[in-house]
Amino acid sequence: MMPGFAERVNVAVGRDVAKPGLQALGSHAKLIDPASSRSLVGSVDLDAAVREDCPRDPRWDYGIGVKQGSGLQAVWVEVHRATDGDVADVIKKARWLRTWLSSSPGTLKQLPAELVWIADGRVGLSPKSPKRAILAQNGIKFRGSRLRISADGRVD
Amino acid sequence: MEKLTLRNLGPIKEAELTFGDLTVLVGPQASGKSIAVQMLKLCEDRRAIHEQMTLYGLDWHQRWGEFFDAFLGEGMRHIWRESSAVQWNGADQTRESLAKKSGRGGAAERVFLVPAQRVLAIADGWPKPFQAFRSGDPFVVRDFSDKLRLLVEEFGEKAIFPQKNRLKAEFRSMIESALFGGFSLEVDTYKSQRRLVLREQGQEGLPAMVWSAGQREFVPLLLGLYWLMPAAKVTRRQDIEWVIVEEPEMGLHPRAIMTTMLMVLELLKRDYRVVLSTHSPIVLECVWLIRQLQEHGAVPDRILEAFGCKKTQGFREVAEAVMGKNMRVYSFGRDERVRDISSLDPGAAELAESQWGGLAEFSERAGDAVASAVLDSGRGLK
Repeated sequence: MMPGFAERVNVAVGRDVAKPGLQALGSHAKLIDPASSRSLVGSVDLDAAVREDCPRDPRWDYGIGVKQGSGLQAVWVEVHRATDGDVADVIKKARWLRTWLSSSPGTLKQLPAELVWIADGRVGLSPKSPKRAILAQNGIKFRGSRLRISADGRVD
Repeated sequence: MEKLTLRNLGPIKEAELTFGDLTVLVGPQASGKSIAVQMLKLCEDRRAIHEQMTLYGLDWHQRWGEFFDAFLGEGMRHIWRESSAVQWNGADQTRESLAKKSGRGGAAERVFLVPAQRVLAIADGWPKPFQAFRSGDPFVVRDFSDKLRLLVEEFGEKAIFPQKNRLKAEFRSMIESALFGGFSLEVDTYKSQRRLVLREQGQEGLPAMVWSAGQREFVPLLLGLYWLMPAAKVTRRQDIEWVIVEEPEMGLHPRAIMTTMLMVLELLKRDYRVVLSTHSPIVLECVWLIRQLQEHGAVPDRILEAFGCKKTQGFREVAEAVMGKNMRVYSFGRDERVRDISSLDPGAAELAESQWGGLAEFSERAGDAVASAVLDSGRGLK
């Protein structure tokens, strides 16, 4: 049987850090709006989990395991202030996440993934800003102040 | 603040439009934006419209159907159904009352409307008089064209643009570089017929038929702005309170749209209340910019930085004035309630607001598709 999201996370970090549902997101869980909570199979506060190992790195915030049909995907969520000036910081964090995942043990890195930036507070990033194109070219989807996850596990 | 309420009028199911100093209407084609601005004009200028129609020999026999076909254009009487309702500042405006002549003369006109069909005004190279249009053509097109005709007749055989006593030097310079590329707009005579031409110094004039699409769209708009910003010391037409410009972006490069929007800000500075309908994200980006700067208590110079203009006294006065203006945005949709999306919050839960009435919808989808492709390609996390 294929390992689940929590097992993969725990192997990657090296200890039991995964939490059920959205518990790892704490107060930020309210920013996630799933059509069905049954599609959420676990979460990790990655920032806290690797803080001791990577104290000075631009760490990514959270990971959420989401069932997609018969498969599983990781939705990596960064909650960060959203202005044009913050785009570069979020891209740095995405690059860190990529490096961390690729060097982590186990199979977490093999999961299909989405990178999503949710605004912390009011959004100061225009929908037509060229900075949004730079985000897209770095594989990051911007989702304003709320992330909807459809019943079939898609990031809407 | 003035409020126009429309119900079951053409494609508009329900609209409650509370107007700001600048009000912007967005929405797809045939969603009722043009009907809404013409109803604003009709509610404010009913007597002046009746007088002008009568002056030019139009007679609708006090019948509302004939009146609406003459005012909005042929066949448009059908937008008004039994369930239709219009209110202006809380007062019911029945179709009969809108069509009924009051009998008193000398009504002042308070709304100047630059219609989307403005290019028709100079289709033959010279603004057409009111009566040169067909009787089924919309009143606002005929009226606008007639005003331009009277205006250009004042110029005689001389340059219309640039002119030292028309528009601030800063605006003239931006228009020259963004719209006319060193050409001047002049009146000349060809085979006894006066006409508008664009002329490069020392060269033969170019008639309207060979202008670029953007120039053909912009010239009537420029003449309209001349009408609103009289020469010499008078800063505005005293009777006119409202300026409506339909699709100011038509045919224009984004740099020229920004120039046009700066002129809109100048209208606000002159204390006109401006209503725009638009399909341009740049227009909404201007509103978003100003609202954001207002919210953050920014210095007015930030507006000039965004527009890429010099911090001259003239531009600074415009920026300072605009920082105190109230801005509203409404999203129209066919057969649905018109939404107030004034905060233009990209993080709003409602897509009509976060995607700016559909103007940013494609950008978001395109961004998502590219982000997914990046992850799929292996340059992502797999």
